[in-house]
Amino acid sequence: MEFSPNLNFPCPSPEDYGAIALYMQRLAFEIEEKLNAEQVSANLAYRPFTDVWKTTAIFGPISSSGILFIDWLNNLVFRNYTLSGAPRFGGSSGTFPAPGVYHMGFFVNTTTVGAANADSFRRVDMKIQKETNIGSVTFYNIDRLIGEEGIAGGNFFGSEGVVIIDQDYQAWKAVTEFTHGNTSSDMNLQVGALAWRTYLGTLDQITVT
Amino acid sequence: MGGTTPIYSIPYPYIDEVMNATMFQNFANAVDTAIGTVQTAVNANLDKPQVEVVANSMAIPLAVQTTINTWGTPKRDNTGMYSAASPDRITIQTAGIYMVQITQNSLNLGGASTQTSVLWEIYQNAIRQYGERKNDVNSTSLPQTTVNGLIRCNPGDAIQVTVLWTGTGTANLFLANLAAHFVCPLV
Repeated sequence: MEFSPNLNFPCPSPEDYGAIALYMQRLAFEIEEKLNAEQVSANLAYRPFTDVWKTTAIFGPISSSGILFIDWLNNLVFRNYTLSGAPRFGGSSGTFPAPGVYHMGFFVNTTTVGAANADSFRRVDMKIQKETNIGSVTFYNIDRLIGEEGIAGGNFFGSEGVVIIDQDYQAWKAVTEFTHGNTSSDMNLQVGALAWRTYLGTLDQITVT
Repeated sequence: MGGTTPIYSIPYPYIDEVMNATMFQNFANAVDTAIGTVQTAVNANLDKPQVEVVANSMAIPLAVQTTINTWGTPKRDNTGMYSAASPDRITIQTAGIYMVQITQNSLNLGGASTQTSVLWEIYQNAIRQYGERKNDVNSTSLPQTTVNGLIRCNPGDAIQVTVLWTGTGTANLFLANLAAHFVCPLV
């Protein structure tokens, strides 16, 4: 038996003519294996792991001394994969479906319950953390801080970023916090807060030169 | 009758069969079909639905939420999401999750006009999806706004952009850029 130089497809030698049926069977399965691997890769690229969350209720009120943890978990509007481990996008680990590179982001509208303090801050911080033996370590902050200017309707803002999740992907989580410095009144996170995560690619393709 | 592989049904003879040319032809045909199937999957990644349109002229009244309705000929549009007959929107043609973004959006103020805030928002079927407000502008400059997010879309969904500014005087649209990129199908 001889083999092709690159993909090692088997080819019969003259003494193998009696085994052509076996040859065709083996060749068929090897072609199938390699084609199927290509198709799986193509399908993953066409259907990257993706989540979209959008809130349907007001979150809050929260005072200027508190932290509001945004509950994306119960506001999922799209997911195209089955998440193994804890199905959380909040305070627990196991929030990523696989190692790889992800694009994540959010948009919110924050409003005051009462008086607004000029130039006081509003901040949303999506922390990408990994559980380690010393506790949760933040590796990325996808965050945004703006100042209040007293324009009716609230403060509309968002942020986005790209994060790399390593092979220990089930130790990673995303925690999103809303804080503010509006001391004269509490604040709410309005209906329609949006967050997303989509898979950009595998770590296998990243080459450092 | 021989066997076939489980995924692509590539036929092969059993060892006790008499070989003939048809067997080789069937084998080659099945491999040909399988490669075509994989190529189709690869091609789908290379031509995902996308559109980008630009608008750069339109009066924007003070303190009135205004829908941009002067989108022009697309820079790119591989599924017909733009129609010159409806220049106030792009219309989704293929169901999926889309990354919808506006970039460089800005207003050109007239004379001694001033701008204290500007809010750009993306709407889907007249429902606000997300947006960005720049506060404390306090100038006659051209603060640009970029907004980028993922939304779930179905065929026929209208994607529109609104702008609302506060300050004094008059303003025209200086530049607006709206794009939608298919991220993944809904199934």
